[in-house]
Amino acid sequence: MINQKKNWKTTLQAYLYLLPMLLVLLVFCIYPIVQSFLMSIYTKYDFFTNKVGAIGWDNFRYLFADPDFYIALKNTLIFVFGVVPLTIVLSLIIALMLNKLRWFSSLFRTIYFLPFVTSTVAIAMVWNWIYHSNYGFLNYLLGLVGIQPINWLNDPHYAMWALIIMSVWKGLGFNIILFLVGLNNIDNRYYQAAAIDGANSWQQFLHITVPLLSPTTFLVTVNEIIVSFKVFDQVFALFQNSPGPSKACLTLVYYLYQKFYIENKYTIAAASGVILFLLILVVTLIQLSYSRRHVHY
Amino acid sequence: MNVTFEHVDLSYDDKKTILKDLNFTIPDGKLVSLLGPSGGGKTTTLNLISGLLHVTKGQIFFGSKEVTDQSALERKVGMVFQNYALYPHLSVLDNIAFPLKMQKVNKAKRYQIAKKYAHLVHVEDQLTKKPAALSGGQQQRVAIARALAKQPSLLLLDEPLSNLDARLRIEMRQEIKRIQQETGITTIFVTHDQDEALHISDYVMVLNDGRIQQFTQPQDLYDDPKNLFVAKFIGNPVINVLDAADLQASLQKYLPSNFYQQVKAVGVRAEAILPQPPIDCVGQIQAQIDKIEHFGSSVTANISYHQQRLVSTGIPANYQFGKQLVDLYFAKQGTYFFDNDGKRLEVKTHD
Amino acid sequence: MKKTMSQVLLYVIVSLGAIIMLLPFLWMISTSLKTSTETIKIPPIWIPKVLRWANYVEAFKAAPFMRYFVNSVVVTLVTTLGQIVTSILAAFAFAKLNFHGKNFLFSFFLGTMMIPGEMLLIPNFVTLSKMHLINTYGALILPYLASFFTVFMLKQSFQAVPDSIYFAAKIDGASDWGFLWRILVPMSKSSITAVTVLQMIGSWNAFMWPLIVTNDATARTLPVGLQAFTTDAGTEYQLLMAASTFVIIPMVILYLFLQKYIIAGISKSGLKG
Repeated sequence: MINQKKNWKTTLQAYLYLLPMLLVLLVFCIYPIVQSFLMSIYTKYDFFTNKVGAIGWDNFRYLFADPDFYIALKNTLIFVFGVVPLTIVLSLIIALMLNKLRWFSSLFRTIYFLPFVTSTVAIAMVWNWIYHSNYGFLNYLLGLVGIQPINWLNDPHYAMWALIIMSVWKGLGFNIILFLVGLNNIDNRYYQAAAIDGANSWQQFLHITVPLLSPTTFLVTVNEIIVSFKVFDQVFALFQNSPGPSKACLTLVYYLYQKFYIENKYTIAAASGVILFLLILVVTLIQLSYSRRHVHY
Repeated sequence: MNVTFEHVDLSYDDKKTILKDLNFTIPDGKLVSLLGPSGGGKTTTLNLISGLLHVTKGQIFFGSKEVTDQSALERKVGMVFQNYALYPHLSVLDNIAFPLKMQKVNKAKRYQIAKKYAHLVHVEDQLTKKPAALSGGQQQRVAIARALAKQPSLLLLDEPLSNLDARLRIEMRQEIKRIQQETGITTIFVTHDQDEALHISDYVMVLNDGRIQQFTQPQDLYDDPKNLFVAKFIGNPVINVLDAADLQASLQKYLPSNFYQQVKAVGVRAEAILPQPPIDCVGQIQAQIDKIEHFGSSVTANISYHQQRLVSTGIPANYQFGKQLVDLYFAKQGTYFFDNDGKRLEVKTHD
Repeated sequence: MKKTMSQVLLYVIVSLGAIIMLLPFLWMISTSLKTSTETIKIPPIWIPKVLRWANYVEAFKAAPFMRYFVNSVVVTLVTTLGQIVTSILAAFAFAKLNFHGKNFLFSFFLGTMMIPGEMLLIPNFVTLSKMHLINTYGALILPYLASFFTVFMLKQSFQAVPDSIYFAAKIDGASDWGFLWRILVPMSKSSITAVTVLQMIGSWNAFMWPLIVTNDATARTLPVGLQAFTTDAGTEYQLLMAASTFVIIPMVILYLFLQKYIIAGISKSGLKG
């Protein structure tokens, strides 16, 4: 109870409440985290007997000598740099517009959010069909404005675009919701005050909306980057169990999946997981230090 | 049930001492207020009585029974919280019946009892509503009924009126008084509002800095403050406090010499500053009257003395004054002398 | 006048965007009701002459979708229920109880949320192989019976319940256990619903983990089954679209009914989990 001193009795009681969660997380979260860091430095390792033959940096050496790993790294970065800015800008614009609507704004919100609740795999099938080079709906539309059919899914130049377009489409709704919440949290009196001070709508946007929305923008960006770094389902389903034409969409997690599940190189896969973690960590730290200087809480 | 504290200390993490050596007995069947500024220890004292908090040192008795180590439930106290703490998902009737449900009283019986208390607090026509549909005053009534439904040993109220608007507050404090008198239950009431405390309580305990400053009947607090803190805390307008150094001449004239040397501060209530010397005069100053304000029946004079502003309500509205200094006198009733520690000194005048 | 014009323009743009968001769904449903020759007509037809509901029957015959469906339902329900119960218990301890190691434990698990879930795949796969649970419900359910993210969300909403309610319940004679289930849980109904629905959507749509731990229809969930079906269906797009519609529809229905809670849940969390 309040300020009730913690003693062995209150502690025991609390741990009984925590026990189910602790058991599951210890076995399926904490142990695997430790294990996968360890595995990344095991070089001779039999997983099923748990015998470690040797320890070293060979797995990482393997990764940095593997051209596929560089491809995966490059593709992941391209994907992140393609998806994140597009998603942020589009979802901010749409959220601003939805916020201004007088009627039906919740209907539109429902529609924009719909892709978020749908199975990535199922909707990727649909996009696979939309991107079809001969009978796809997208090429039909492009044909109407005189653009030659594009072989979206089989041409390495376009495959990444196909992936990015679909991912932006799917991720918009979630970020729109977050922006709408952020916009709602801005007190209307700021706008009234600014209007009295003679600010026009653009100046209001620039001097009130942008700074006061910055915590939301920051949150959305961090989240979107992390999610994009881990892209897998879309690739797998859109290119039907392949990393795209000429590995054009081989991403880091796809690489991990291949090493682990197809090639059974567990320790290599674990090492690639560690790299993924480090990348996410670095990005998060950079953003945190940036936000400390530029985000107005 | 009377409540006794013997040498009670409370400290957190063996570092910060919140309460120091509390000793008191709250008499049975009375309405007692714990009054003081926030952080003074009044809510902490209430929580010690309720059993939500436990003492670091000392003993607590309910009647002759020691309850120091008992929990709130074992002590069978009923409590009303500042934010009412009604269960928002339960109806008024179910809220009042909840403690009985916990005691496994059967449904028909507990609703019967709950309705009886709903009637007592005048919410019998709101039984099926959820708390959110009630006004603040009604929620307060429900909270009191819930606290009473279990037939508690004591009724404890933690700042029960501070969430209400001014008019309701006055209405509810009368209600609390009425309910307390009808049930005869020992009631302990925490407030930071002296008006509230002085109007409804049988006894008032003034707490500050983790210590009891004074524990007595309301009128005594005003007439007979034990120390400078109580004198300053009770009364509106706030008592005028003068440094003894500014009053040497007056003190020498009116007080015996062995006495006046102990005086470090003098408190004078507004009504005790008069333009004519009263029969039992204990002080005199020469000061300038700046302004006399007159609202309704109250007349307030603003006075300058040694760069200090004093307030008097003892000067008539039609009193003629200019820029010159005038003689003003302190009546014995309403003038108090305090020593270095702020302790009140017994008045001994020359005659 | 200028105001009306800008509103009209706004509605035009927002509607265009909404059409783009809806197109894939409409295209999917339209295709799912076509004959195989209609699917490759140029220009495309939106409404087929005859609505071929038989495509759904055919897709069902071509692959054990009923089995996948049952698997998905069981796994989603058990995972969600289990996770909500473990999380309610833990969140209560973190929100209202005082105990040794509380702050450390909380920050520690908060820190683990930084680790990408993909890193856990390999060790978890091995653990479950050793338990001989691969290709069973156990493999799909066990690792997700607790989630610190859910604990975190519930702890936030439990903390919003004032302590005075807790003390009132205690004084009224409720035990911690009674307070949790009689007062705290009913009071936090909307947050619990929100995390429940979000978790259901997540479980239903989960792909990578079910893909790895299932290898035939025994335990496969719908997304994995659908993925396997593509290899069999080949160019029969009307069947693929019928199957996709079948996978998507349940969550869309859930969403339409409970969107208030989903939106509220996301607003509070701001994370995909």
